[in-house]
Amino acid sequence: MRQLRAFVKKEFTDQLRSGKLFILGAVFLLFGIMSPATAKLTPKLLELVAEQDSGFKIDVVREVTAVDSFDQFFKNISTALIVFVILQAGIFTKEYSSGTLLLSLTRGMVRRRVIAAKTLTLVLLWTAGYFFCFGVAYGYTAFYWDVSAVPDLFEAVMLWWIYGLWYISLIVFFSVFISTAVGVIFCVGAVYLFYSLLGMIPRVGKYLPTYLPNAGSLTHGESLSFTVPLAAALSLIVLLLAASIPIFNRKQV
Amino acid sequence: MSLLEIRGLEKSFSDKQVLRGLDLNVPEKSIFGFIGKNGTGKTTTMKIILGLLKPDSGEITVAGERVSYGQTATNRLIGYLPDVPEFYPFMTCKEYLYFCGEISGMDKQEIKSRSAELLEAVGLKDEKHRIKGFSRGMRQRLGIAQALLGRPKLLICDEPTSALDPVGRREILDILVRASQETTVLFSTHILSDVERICTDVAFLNEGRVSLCGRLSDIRRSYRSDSYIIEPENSEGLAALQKAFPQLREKNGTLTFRDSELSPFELMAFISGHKLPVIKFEREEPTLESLFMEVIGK
Repeated sequence: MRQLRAFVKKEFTDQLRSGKLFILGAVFLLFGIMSPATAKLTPKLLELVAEQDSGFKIDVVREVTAVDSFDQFFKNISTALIVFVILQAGIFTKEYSSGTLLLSLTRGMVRRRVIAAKTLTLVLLWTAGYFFCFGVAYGYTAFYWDVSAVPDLFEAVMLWWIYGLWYISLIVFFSVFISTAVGVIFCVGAVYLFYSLLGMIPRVGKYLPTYLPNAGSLTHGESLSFTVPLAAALSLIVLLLAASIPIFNRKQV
Repeated sequence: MSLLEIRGLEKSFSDKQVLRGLDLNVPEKSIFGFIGKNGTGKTTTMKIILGLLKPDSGEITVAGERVSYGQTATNRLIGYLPDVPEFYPFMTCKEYLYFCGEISGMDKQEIKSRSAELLEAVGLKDEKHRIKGFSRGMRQRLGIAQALLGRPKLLICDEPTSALDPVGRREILDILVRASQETTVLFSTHILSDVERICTDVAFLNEGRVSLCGRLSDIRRSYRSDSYIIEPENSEGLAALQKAFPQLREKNGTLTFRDSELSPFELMAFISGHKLPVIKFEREEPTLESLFMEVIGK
């Protein structure tokens, strides 16, 4: 337990002093503010365009509501997730290339705790960043619109959070084989691409973890089932993390 | 008693066999010089001792305990300084030692007092900057401090002085000598003068085997040659000796002979009888370099 705590503390010191924590904070804050702002400003922009007599004929069909704001949130958060993955893909590989892990391991740091500490760090960062982002978006949205009418918001938010956790397990899993951050990013991207292609097959798509981002549609009152993709994501997370440990134990550093 | 014992160690990398049945005994409380050319397997041997590489065959014990690859329990007995030690650059040396102490399960107070003591010993006591800006010598000194933190029974240093300037080298050697009062030191090197300066025991590694191993003084004695050197103070003395003993060979004002050719006592009697002033009359000691060359067959 003490090893784990010391290592997590070390990871956070790194995040803080390398400026990554700041960048993540700024990105999540930005997207948190942007979501309601975009929802608020889009009709105004459209009106402006319409007033200029540009040949477009625009009818503002309906009032903007909290649902539009959360729609923007679920769109923006995927960009934030990409930034997160790119920023954190080197969390293991940096230690391989610099050789810093060597001294920790020869001091008796247990290998599976290295995995545990780094996974925990990523989970904490993602969770804090994600809910901070959502908190900001929610606050602004509640300020402008009535949020009580948005259906299934909690479920949608939780499903998207778990979708992010799946990417963390992918980062960890690929990091035990691959020695560069670019390689890890590439593989995570390849997995996304693979599942997206697989998802094009009718009736298969809604059972894959890549279906989880559609959770945003729940707030439209659509009745979609996420049981299978959720179970798929959770079991993949457990499987990937569990598989990482024996492989990492045998890794030559 | 041997603290570290290695039996029949073999290791190949793809098609290149690096270790071919290496045997080694490192006695307790020695400063053990592990000598070999670059690429002869010094680092490989050390990494196997630390469980960082898996040997193809052979057995290693540290204080009677067997070393296993991967999760290496014997590492709690060992302090290790790699050839180029890498630390987390965003930490200060104090923070780094604290981190090391925590992951090796040391008591908080003990970490604090031991790091203060070690930072003092390696001259980094007042260093407040992050490790990022440290010079090689400073990194090497911090490396020794982290290696000694847990009071290991065995300190393993991989070429600790190779990359340093003469002042830095001297500092590291002094620290190793001091460390040897409480621990056994095994260090690899190809700098023979470092070995002559501090080692009590040596092993010469050649082509994946230990070709010569033992106490430095014993090795010196057994390899002691029968050559003598005399250096007369002036040219008159030189001429007188050459005239009386034509077997003597002269080179740059010194005379050499073997005791199979001439009795050294006879010569001493002649020198004292004629009151010839001499600067030097000595039995030639084999230098480590000449031994090394002989061992590796050059």
